[in-house]
Amino acid sequence: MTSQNGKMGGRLLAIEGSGGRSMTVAAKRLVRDLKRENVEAGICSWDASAIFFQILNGVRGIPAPSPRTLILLYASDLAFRLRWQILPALEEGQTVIAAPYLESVIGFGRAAGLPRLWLKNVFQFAPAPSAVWRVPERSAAVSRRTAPAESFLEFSLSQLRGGPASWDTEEIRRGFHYHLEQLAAHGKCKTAGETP
Amino acid sequence: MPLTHHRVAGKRLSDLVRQRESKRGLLIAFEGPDGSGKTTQRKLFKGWLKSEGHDVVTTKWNSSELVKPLVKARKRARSLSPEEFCLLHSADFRYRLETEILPALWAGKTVIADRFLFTALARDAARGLDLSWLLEVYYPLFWPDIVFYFSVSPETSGKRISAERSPSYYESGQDVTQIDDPLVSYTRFISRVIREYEALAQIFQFVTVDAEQSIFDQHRLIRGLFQSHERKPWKDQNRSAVMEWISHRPELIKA
Repeated sequence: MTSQNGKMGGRLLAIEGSGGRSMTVAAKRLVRDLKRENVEAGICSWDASAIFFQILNGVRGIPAPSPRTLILLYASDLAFRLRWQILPALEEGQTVIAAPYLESVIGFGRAAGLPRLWLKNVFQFAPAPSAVWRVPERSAAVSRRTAPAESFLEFSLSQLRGGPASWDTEEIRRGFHYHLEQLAAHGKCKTAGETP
Repeated sequence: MPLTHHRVAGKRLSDLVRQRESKRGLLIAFEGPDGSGKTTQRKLFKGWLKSEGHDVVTTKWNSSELVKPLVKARKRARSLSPEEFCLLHSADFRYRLETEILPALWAGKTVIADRFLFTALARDAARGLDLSWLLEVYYPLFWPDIVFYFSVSPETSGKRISAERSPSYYESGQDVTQIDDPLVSYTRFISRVIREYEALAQIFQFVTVDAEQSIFDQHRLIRGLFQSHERKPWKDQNRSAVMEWISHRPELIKA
């Protein structure tokens, strides 16, 4: 079972992964499972502030942002999500499922070689979730990966492939999943499908 | 687990950065509150540097093609919280550092920054954000070789700004003061910003220019200070930022 989020009364749950349909399915399944316990929950997705949508549809042909810049943009979007969606709901005692929340961006940053401490410090404004689930990337999904517009990881990898800096994006992807696997291995998150 | 394919051993990168030291360009930041006349001085200084044979690049605050449109849209909608504002500016700063400033310095060009990260530290701290968090957001910090700080009183800043236009919502700090009158809000907010600047000027040893002097006197002072400036190697933090940037630039490493 999960605990409540501090003084706020509500409960913040996080679903982490590379995004797309599998994340949506996992979030909806969690909503359904919670409903069976008579708990109403809402889902809060990434890019609520439309930062990444605007970049995707913005100026073309400019140098790609680095992982550090992408993480700062994610942080800005998360600050927006917290202000308008997550914190107001928690203050009203509701349950919020943030998909993704912190560990996806931390996994991306770690896989790109950024220091854990920096990532932790930048995101210190975000309250810790009561429970975290990871959504593994299944082999069936690899052949039809999520579009950049649907996931922070895919958005970031597509940006990094744009140059001029040189990044091994497949290695970052592996590092990202490794981070989530390690969290699960150390009991810091569950794998989607487990009960809340 | 190896992190990235193109990462090069730290020692080699460190040697590469050290070897570049004598050929690299200088970074000169112009800082100060609105209405302190730094843009006028920056333009005069740039013209003079060019006449002296320097290859000069200018970078302005919140000017990247990546982030500027995002900030502009959100400013128009008045939808930015201090944290979001700060994080978007930090993304703009990092992006410009990695795509404009460092490539120019590496190529031996002189970079003039019309506002640098101290603008963020002063304004965001004046908006109530914690300075230690701000320093984390801008990590790894990159220090200019010289910071010219244009010092004016809140009254002078207010007079100069109001002589030209009414300050905008965020410029006047109405998002934090909650004061309806932009000029009254501006005076309150800029006093806080100047207090933060004055503290930063002491901590980070800015070269303070009395911006209430005549334009020519200020320009002459800046020229003299620049000419007498003793070139020093990059600090460790600058080297870390450069190493992080160059570690994914195989073409520079090979060159």
